[in-house]
Amino acid sequence: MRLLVCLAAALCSVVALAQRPGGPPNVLVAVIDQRDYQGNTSTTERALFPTPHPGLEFSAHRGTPQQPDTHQNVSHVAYVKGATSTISLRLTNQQNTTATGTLTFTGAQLVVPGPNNAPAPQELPVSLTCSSPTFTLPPFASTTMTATLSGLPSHVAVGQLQVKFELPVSYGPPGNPGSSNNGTAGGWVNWERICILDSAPIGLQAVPWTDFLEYTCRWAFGASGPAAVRREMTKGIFYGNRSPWNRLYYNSAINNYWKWTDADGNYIGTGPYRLGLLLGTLSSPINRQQSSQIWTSADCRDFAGLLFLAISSHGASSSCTILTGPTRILLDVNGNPVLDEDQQPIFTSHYNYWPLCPAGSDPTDTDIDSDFSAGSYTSGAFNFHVVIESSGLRFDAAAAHYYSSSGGPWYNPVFDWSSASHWQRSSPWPYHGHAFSLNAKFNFLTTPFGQGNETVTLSQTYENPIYLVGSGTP
Amino acid sequence: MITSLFLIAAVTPSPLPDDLLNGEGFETTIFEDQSKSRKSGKGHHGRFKNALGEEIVIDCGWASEKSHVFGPSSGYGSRQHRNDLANRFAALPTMRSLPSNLPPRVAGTWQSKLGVTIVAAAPNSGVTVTYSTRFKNSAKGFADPQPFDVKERAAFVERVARHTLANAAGMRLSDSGAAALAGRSIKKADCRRSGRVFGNLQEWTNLEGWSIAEDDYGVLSLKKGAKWAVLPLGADQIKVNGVWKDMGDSAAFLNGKLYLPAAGLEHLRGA
Repeated sequence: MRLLVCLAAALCSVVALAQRPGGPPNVLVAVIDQRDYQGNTSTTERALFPTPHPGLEFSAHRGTPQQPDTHQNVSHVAYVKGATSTISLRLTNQQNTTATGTLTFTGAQLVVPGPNNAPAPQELPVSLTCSSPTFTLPPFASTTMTATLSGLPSHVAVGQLQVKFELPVSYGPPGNPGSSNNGTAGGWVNWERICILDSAPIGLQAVPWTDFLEYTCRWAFGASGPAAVRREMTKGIFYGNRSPWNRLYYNSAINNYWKWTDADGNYIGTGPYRLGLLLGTLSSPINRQQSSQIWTSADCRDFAGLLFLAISSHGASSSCTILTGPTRILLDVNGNPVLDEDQQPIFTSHYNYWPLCPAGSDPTDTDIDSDFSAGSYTSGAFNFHVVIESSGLRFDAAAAHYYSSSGGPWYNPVFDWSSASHWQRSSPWPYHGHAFSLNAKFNFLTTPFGQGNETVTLSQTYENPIYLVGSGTP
Repeated sequence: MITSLFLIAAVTPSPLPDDLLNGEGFETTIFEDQSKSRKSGKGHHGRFKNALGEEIVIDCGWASEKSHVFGPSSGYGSRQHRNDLANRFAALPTMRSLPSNLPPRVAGTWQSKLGVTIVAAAPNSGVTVTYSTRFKNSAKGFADPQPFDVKERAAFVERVARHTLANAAGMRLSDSGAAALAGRSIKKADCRRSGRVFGNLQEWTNLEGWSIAEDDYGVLSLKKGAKWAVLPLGADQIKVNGVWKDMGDSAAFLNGKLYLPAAGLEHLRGA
């Protein structure tokens, strides 16, 4: 932090010495040294959790005889869409003489990440206006001005707030007046990043993490309303929407973030969700380049818990549903019991699924290349699988399905499938959905199509993360 | 054969085998002490990456004190314990044992084109090690997992798991001077959790004329003339002249040296 203050001081010196073309040295007189956003949602982040961010987002006040140094920098500000956004700006006179002037914003924009097929940042014009732009400041005194930020997106979004402003000031004693412009000289300067939430966050994200919002607002960018948030968040996590270089990859044999068993194998229940570790592993998507793509592996629990938390950060409810087959004796291909080391039968609750493409792989690669593989899709078996359920609909960000629940091509993660058809539709045969059969593995080459498909008895339970773990280095 | 067994043992207060991984080109990217979020005992999480982009992730939990509640209620090594470990992942295990097929038998292996995951449990400690192959990026921005030598990587993952378990066992030992164990005066250590006595294996084998070598799976071979023994790190058993014998606990690294339960030394003495 000390380094930041030194850098800020150095920057101020540079600004003070800067000379406008054809003009006198531009003396630094009036400085916007604090920004306090009003009407925003209380937030935190992984390194700070469970302590919330301070109410004052930005302070770079240089010490004066009257006021001590203060410095603070909360990088993100969250607003529920449609909320009135005002910013209290503190203007401080850095000189030993009275200063008068006017603060006029000449431009404001939200620079948002582009979609994955055109990831260059996009500029959305917004508006920033000061209702009482003029000021008179005694030596080293400060005043607070109010600016209204309008034109923010009316849907889920995130972006860098950039502003430009004119700040002409007059200063100096009557016999030796001076003038300066402490504005941005026509250029853009970065203020905070703005997150637009669909609705007031709930549950474990009631005080949302801004480093998580940086992702959830990208994944569900453009969504409005809880149904759209659930759908777009599911697709957004699967495709890494607007975060193409910080991605999740689904691996059913890895479980890193939402563990249900301890190291000794004991079931520990819903347990903690290590959101801090996940965010630390994914790293920040801000200003990342394609040359250093990050892939973070996670299993269905990790994905489902993440989706549950992500949509709750936008005020939408859901629950994590665990799907398992019936417990039975494991049989080999000849129908004989498989025995363990003690020559006892092994019990299992596994089931075989219709072909899936893991998140991170290309779901449009669908060419059949072997019995059990078609491009990115493979068939196989699960001990269990975890998805999200809300209002009778199911969502699964971990994997894309080859077939829809009605048997047509789907090639997407599951979203808006009814809970009645997601697990398996009851008729007609073949029984499409998630589960293919208890013991037979789906075969792309088998004729007639669907051979081996059978009714699978549904078993489902509900578990949600009960608390979050922050930190997560680096 | 790997002969530098005693040089690569971890000397850090964590059971994660940094030196072993560093020697194979894997550097730490993330380390987390997760003990606070555990019900009891200790837990460390570490991630390691090499220059190719391959990744090893280790989760280790262990109990070092008497007060720590650890281990399944069904008892270490029970059928229930083995089933719980085999079913802890959403995917079905490829094997309900380690790639070497040697103890500990509370273990499971998952292999796929994405990598290898191994779960293994010793008395008072458990470990999950995952190797993930590197991803290339397709032109459309998706991941393209790269082929890898499954046998070689599976062996390495097993070795990492075994070293982690042996390091975790060492976390509950306290150096307690020297004593006569299995007929030799050697350095000994006491287990704070069980009170069991351990002896410095290298000192004992040097005095007794045994040779030791470690294979790619983290399994030690001991020889003295026609006598031989197999000591899988992380297991509470030792195979002496072809017969598996219980040691009551697994071998443990303490301050970079391998210690064996006194029962294990007696088994070797009686070979």
